[in-house]
Amino acid sequence: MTYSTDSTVGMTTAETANTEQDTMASFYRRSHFWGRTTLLVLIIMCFAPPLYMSFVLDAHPGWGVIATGLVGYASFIGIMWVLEPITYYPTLGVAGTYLAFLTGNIANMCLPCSSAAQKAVNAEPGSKKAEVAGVFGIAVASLANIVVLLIMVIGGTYLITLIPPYIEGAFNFVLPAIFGAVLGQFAYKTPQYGVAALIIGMIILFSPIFSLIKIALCVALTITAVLFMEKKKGNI
Amino acid sequence: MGDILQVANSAPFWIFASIIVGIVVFQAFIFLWIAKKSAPDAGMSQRDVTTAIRAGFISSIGPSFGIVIVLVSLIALIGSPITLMRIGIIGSAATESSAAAIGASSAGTELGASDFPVEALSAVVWTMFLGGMGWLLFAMIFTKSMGNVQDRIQKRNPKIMASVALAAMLGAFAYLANEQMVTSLNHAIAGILALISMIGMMIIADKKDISWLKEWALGFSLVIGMATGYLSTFII
Repeated sequence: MTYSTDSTVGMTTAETANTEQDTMASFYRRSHFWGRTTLLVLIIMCFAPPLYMSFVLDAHPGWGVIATGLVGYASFIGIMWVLEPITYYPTLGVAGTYLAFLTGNIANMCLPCSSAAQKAVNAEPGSKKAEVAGVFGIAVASLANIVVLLIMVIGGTYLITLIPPYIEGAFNFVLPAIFGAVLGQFAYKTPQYGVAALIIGMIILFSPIFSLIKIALCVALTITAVLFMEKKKGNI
Repeated sequence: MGDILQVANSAPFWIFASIIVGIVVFQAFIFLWIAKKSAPDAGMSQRDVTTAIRAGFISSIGPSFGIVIVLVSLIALIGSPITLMRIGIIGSAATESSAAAIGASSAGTELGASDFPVEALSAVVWTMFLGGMGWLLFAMIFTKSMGNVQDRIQKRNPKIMASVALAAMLGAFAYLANEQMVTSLNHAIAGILALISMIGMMIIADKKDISWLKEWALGFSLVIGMATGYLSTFII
């Protein structure tokens, strides 16, 4: 780890007695350190349940079966291991990526909560302010999600039977509502880009392409289209 | 089925689940601390911090309950702690249900089958936990490189990064929204209503300078989208 002292704080940051100053440089240094540490600990921990099943409970399915399962899974989802982090990185930033990929439920929870926090403090997408605001959004969402899940799971099936059927029926539509709302949140300032993205998305959705790369392709084409339009306007 | 649920709901799995919940909670608190320290340097006031936290919390409620409802269907098949770990906290519903199905089929059976030996549960656990590691490894190893690429782009032209972040978000959510909305007319209604109400609320919040509306906008749009989607099933 490098210890950067090139920080030029001044303006509003209160100088603390700390030896290091709390600039964005220390934000990134801490994020990389803690992000990597927590992911590593989780990766190690992920070996425990399968090893326990095979060698403590003596329920080893055989390496052939395990390999078949993993190869089968990897052959259709494996590309997402690489494409998803890259696709979502521009929105999540460094710290958001560490948080979201450890927490999971990225498109249906982390990203919407990150963008809600960014919009609530009027942060420009891609700015430092957006990145830090997004961290608050995701971290709090992750904690709230755990509380909700724990109550429901420990409360058991009983609590779940308490949910009235019309609420359960309404939750059939939670995904289109989340995705539509987040799209609106980003498109309202630049509606022409929103429409362009929707058209690109629709074309790709109905194109005969391998389905798992479609979202990354849509992101790549939308980025190209937006950069092209911005360049034409002379904004970049 | 009874046998494997007894295994899957046994104490060791609850211990694994608690450790994993512990890691996620620890990471969330660490990143809240990291973000809090650098908030002033990123241009966030103390009020912005509170606003971002509140927006993240409010926005997470809808998605969390959406996750709970998916969770229920798998609890009956692979038990509470494994479902909690994989779907609720570190994975996501879409990927983990297919991992479970592939793991089961590689063991020569299927989820919910009457003869589901404990070895098949073991195969499911291996596929889910090792298969989910791809994202964790990629995020752990390559987030730093993605940060460096971003730095280089930003140094050359800071405006490009802002456009890329906006376009990436639009592209991803335009695709996800399209994919959901073509499922049925009701899904389309839910998505479009959520999108329109979000745009409406953001415009009102900006014009009248109502900051709390931005914090609640995602929550409100979700309710509007889900309610109209559900009500429309009685008509169409």
